[in-house]
Amino acid sequence: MTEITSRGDAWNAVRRQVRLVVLIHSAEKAGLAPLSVLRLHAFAFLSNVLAPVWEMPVLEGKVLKRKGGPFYPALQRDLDRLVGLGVVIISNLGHVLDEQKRWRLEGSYRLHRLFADHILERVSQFEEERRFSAFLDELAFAVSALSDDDLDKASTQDAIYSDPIVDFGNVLDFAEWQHKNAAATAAARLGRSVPGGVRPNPGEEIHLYLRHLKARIHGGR
Amino acid sequence: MVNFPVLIRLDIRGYGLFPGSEAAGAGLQVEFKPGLTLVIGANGLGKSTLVSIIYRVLSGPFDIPGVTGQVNLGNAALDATELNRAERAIFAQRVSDGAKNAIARLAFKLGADVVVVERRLSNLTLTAFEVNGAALDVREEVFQAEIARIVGLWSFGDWILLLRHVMFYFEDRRALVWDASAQRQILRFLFLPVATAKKWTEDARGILELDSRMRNLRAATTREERALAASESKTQSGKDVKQSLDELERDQKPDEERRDRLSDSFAGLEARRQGARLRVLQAEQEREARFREMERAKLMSIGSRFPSLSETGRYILSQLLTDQMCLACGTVVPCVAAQYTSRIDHKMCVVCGTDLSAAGVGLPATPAADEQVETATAGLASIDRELDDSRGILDEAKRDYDAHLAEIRLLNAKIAKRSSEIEDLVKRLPPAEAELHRQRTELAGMRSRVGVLRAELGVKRQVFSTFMEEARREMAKQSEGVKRAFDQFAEGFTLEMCRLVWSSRKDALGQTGELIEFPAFDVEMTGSDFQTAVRRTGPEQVSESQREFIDLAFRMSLMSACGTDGVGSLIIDAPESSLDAVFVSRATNVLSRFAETVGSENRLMVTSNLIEGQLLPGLLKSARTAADKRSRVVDLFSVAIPTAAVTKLRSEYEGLLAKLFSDAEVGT
Repeated sequence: MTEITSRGDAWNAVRRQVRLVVLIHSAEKAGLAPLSVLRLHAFAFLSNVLAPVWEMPVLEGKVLKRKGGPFYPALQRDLDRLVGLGVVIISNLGHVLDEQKRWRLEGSYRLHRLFADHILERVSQFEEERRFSAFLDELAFAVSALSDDDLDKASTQDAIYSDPIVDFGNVLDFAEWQHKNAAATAAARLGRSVPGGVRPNPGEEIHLYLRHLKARIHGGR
Repeated sequence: MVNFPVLIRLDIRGYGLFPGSEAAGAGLQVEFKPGLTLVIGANGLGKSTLVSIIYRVLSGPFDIPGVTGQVNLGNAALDATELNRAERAIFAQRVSDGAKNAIARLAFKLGADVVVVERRLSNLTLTAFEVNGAALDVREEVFQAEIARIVGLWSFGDWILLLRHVMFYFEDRRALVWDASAQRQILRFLFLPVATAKKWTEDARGILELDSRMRNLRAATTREERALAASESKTQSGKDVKQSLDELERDQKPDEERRDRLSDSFAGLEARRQGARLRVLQAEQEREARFREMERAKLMSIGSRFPSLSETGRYILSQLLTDQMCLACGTVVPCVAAQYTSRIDHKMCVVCGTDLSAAGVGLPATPAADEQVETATAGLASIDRELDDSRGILDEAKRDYDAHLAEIRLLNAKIAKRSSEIEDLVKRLPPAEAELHRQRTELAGMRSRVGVLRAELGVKRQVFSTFMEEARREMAKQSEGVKRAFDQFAEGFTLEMCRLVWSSRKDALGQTGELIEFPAFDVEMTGSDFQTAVRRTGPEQVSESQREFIDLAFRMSLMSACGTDGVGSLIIDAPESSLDAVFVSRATNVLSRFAETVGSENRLMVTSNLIEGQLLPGLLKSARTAADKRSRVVDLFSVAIPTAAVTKLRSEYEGLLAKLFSDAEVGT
């Protein structure tokens, strides 16, 4: 039983790491890389909350709401492993104290093409991973329309993260025990509000949502 | 904003317990100046009675039954209910003349309005009611409506909640921050407009009534089913049918009881599961921070010896030393980590082992960085243990929750199947007399009615749940002010970090149906056995001193953030009872912060036995002059009818009182 569980854990880790590679790859294609630690986590968060728009399963349906923005300790460990495997290169490495005076890793991540391309090539042969990759590409391109400053604020202005109903220090649960995803709902609503009565495709809905986030960042609703 | 009462003056006359002195005039008079009023006495002199009199002048002969009877408020009805004759005679029973001529008159401010209320202490009858000098009708209904209007509430029941849960801290120590059900009712009328607060109460009441009706009808239907089955069995010849019916009935009842018991405990399991998940996420974040702290320390340690190492290489090495795991292959290699650490300690190259100290290559080891490594290592080990434990607790909580849910679903399925079988069996019995026919028709009607009520209840609950989500969103906007005020009042009370977090609590509304998410403030505190701040959802999770003073700080915060001009009155009966010596000065600071807020009109009334220690002198120190100190003390030794102990030991008491004033002078 233990063996099966640990094998399952290992496969899950591989699955998560593969998706991280795809995520950084999409960011690179959109000109977002190298990605700083917090931006990478923010990007991962947006990919989780907007996955339903693309009818993709949500990888992580909850996150602790922190003042500094979303941060996934497990994802960070996966990233560490990818650095160790040579698939991801870290630069500008350092440690900074966050707003809670706790230490956090700082650095910028990009793919090491020599190893990453093999993985990406194989990934592209699987239908589900290809769809995930297309979703992340669309998301990354939408995110790339934001300035660096806006990008840093994007996740915290998101409909789920910015909801005052959940205070900092509480769990944002949008797809684990609860299934209420305000971001995906907002994206769908924005899609329906397009004049002309033609419902945009999921990619366009994601762009509309990111544009909406930008407007929020600059004081609009 | 709500207008909390700000006490101005109390005048009690003709009451045998407080005859007063000739010098001070008959009876008991208290001028509530901004800041502290200290009521000093001994056991039996009437401190708690005095507090009760103030309360009863404000509440009149009305109360909320659920507030006084249970540990938590729960889903108690919030209607102000008239006291019975014996309850109204509470003050009469304490004196030989039945308090026949006793009058208590209280002047207080509610926002800009000055209100005067006078009551007979014999039976709490209202004898005078003035607002801004104008005498109003002395009927209770007029009083109640006018008070609710001026305070900014929609019902007098809410006024009683405000008195009992915010303004008065009686000896029964009714909790507010620790009682999620009471808290949500207080937040309802403090945070929401009057109309919304009213809608909340009325809709919740509607659901509770419907839930009760549905359950009663369901129980009646079950009884009817059994009666019908019994009647038909008696009259019919089908022996096998009768036997089957008996067996089904026998099995059905315990399953129904078990399902109801499980449903009752479901909210608790959900809260435990939510709390456990939060704890794991917090511990994971803390673990990450500590891991990076150690990683940084190790990087510094390596970097001091390896200035030219590439960042990736340095990073991989630091991870190997921190987590004992090779990032390249994923293997855990403690022996390699130990070997590398040893090389660093001996000023050797980490990779090839070359002695660098003699060759003058690299930088000398920095002892500070090495020390940091040790400290960080210990910190990481402890959070690792905590993380493991919290994961174990989460697994267990999830297992319990899932098992519970699975059993409820199984029972529901079994009960539904059996009901259907019972119904079929009853139908299969041969048609009988008119009475049986009537019973069957009635039963069918009842079943149909239960179904209708259940559906109606489901819709109402859904609507209320949506309303509650909107209300929580609205209330969240005001939560920051309360949190900030709490930080100020609670600061320094505990050595632990202690803060409020705006949160939610799932609870049942009625005994059937889905849980509803209600708003709540939770307390988060560090503790001796926890590495990080941990959510404390119940009073049993903190010490007695912490429990009471955190609750008091919460009440102060509510008045400060939600009261007009941030002012109010707090009346605390015997705060010293829960304090150990170490906490006295800290508790004094909490109370003084409320009483002495610059420019504030806050009133703090504290009753206490004449005790030694720093609480009383500490509180009195804020008064600048000796005369001011004395004017802030209500000396029940000179006002109240003496007990045998006071008569016999008066000189000792007087000595202690003199010492109190003398101690209060020191350091003023």
